[in-house]
Amino acid sequence: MFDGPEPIYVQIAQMIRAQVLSGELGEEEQVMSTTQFATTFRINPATAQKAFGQLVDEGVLYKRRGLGMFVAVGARERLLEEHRTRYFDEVLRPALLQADLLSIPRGAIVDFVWGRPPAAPDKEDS
Amino acid sequence: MDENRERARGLHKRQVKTLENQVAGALVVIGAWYWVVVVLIAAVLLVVELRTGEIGDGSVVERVLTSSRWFMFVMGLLIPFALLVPHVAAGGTRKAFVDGITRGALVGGGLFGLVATLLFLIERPVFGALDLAWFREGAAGPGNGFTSSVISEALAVATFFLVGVAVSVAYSRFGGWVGTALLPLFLVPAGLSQFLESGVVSDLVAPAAGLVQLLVLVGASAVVLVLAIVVVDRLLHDVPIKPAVA
Amino acid sequence: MTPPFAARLDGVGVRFGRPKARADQSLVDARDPATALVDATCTLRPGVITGVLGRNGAGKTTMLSLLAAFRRPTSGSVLVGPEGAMEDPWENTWITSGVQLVRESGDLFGDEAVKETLKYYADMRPEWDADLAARLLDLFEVDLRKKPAALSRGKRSAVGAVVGLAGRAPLTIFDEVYLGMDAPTRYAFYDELLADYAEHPRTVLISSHLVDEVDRLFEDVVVIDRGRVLVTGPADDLRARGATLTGPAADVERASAGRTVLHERRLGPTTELTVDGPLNDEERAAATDAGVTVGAVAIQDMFVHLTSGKGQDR
Repeated sequence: MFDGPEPIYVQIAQMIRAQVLSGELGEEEQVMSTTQFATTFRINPATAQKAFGQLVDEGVLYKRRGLGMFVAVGARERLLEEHRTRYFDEVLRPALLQADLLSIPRGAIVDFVWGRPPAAPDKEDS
Repeated sequence: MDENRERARGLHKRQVKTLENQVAGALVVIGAWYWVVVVLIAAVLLVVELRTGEIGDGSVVERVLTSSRWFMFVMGLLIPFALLVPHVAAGGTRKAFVDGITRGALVGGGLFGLVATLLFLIERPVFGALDLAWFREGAAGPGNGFTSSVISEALAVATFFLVGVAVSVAYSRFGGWVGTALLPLFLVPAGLSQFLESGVVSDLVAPAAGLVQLLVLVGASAVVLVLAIVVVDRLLHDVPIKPAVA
Repeated sequence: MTPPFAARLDGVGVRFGRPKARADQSLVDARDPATALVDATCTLRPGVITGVLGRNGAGKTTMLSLLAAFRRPTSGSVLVGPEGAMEDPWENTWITSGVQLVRESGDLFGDEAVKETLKYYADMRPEWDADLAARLLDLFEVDLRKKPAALSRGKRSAVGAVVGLAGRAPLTIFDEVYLGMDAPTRYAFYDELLADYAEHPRTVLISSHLVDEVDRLFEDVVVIDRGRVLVTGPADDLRARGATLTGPAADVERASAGRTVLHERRLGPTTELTVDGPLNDEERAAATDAGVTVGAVAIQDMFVHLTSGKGQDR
């Protein structure tokens, strides 16, 4: 778990975001405590704390005094919205850049998007 | 800050007490075996004396008792070696170590003095019943009293214990050459302690009244003990703990 | 309860006296055989788990020995204590009773059953938790009636781990304590450490030269190399400090311009450089656009590169 190249707290935040997005973690549902996180994943509790702090700033989680961290109301919607806007920048733009490098004509991409079989034979995967 | 000082005093007492218990406990447990052996040897000597008359007159316990000094010396060699590092690792200071070892030596020494004196008390009527002459050579007058016997024996064995501690620390701290070079220095308190029990000293104090004799002898033994404590303290007060050999 | 202890080393040098130089061979710098630490300066934050990293003989043990008043520095100053009230730990009951240095040997009574040692530590430690000790001994399957010599290396280390955890000292130091343990015991130790640390916050130092298994436990790190403090700060900074640049040699060369190269690997036309100093977002984007793959450097690798003495400027 958390073997990616990013700092661990970033990976934890991503994991929680993904769980909220998928509905695995519902609104108003309690998230594991920093201690649980620390012992479950063998990480420093401060690392989990840092991830929580980031998610609180983003409005994904909120803190109930003495109880712990909970998923904020509307968190999923906010994350969806944010991911939608970032999708173009972070997913589509690099994909198109790659297509340019491979000399894939824009038309082929549009065709692909519309569900037609790809025209360019030099395309390896979709 | 004062609160911390207050706490430190309490902690120091706790450390000293813990070590004292450890040292006294070891002396009692291992000492118990020692005394069993002493009694057996004294009994054998008594039997030999009865059969052959070759051992000579006077207390057999006293003959065996010289060995209790060397027994305590050996215990002194072993104990700091075993306790110092765990003591410091457990947050103990060297000062608490010296204090605890000294108090443990006094408690252990007191018990030794008590047992030795009790053996004399048992031996005397046994000699009487067997029609043998009972006397102690070393302590002319005061050594024969119960309290003075306990105290002088206690101070003597405690001194030998601390001399053992000094020798052991010196060797482990400075190595074989320097340790051996320092040896005569450490044996000074031991020598003085032995000297105090000799006939020379009892003859010297003989003219004085009984109580004065007692005070002089006990006082001199106490001074020798303090000398041994000072030597141990100088050796231990800044001793570094070496890296463990893995 | 005593608040967690902080610690500070200021220009600390340790040089072993001539008689001991030979005995302490394992701690010694290659160039000056009697020097274990040179002008070491660092601050250890209270209530934080800090990793003290260094190769064998780098000076880790010497540094930790100073904090626990096992020895005194030859020069410089050592301070330990609650933040704002740090003092010299040497022969300072109030400080030393709050510092527990656990060494791999466990520092047990050599010729007595393990339970005697534990009783001693329990009597000495003001904040000893007997229930925790009993539970951990059970977990680590330590036979209390055995003498240390009859225990395996791993079990002796486990006793040391119990001493460190149950003592709840405001500054608890584990010096390579888990090396003799087998993997399941090590993981159990990490779990117990984290659980108890979360419940009873204190300052924990863990020294190791095997970094990758423990680096996630650290909030801060201190890297020591040949008696000097090389790096000190948050572990995340060390994680973000290096970067690998992989791609065609010429592009990689361009992307790495002006940086210290810690490591270089060539696979045919492809070159992988490990460079020092974090890349900012622009540099990262520029490198990516130039067809260079930017990767992260794990603490373990960064540690190896920084302490192998092969860094070169470019």
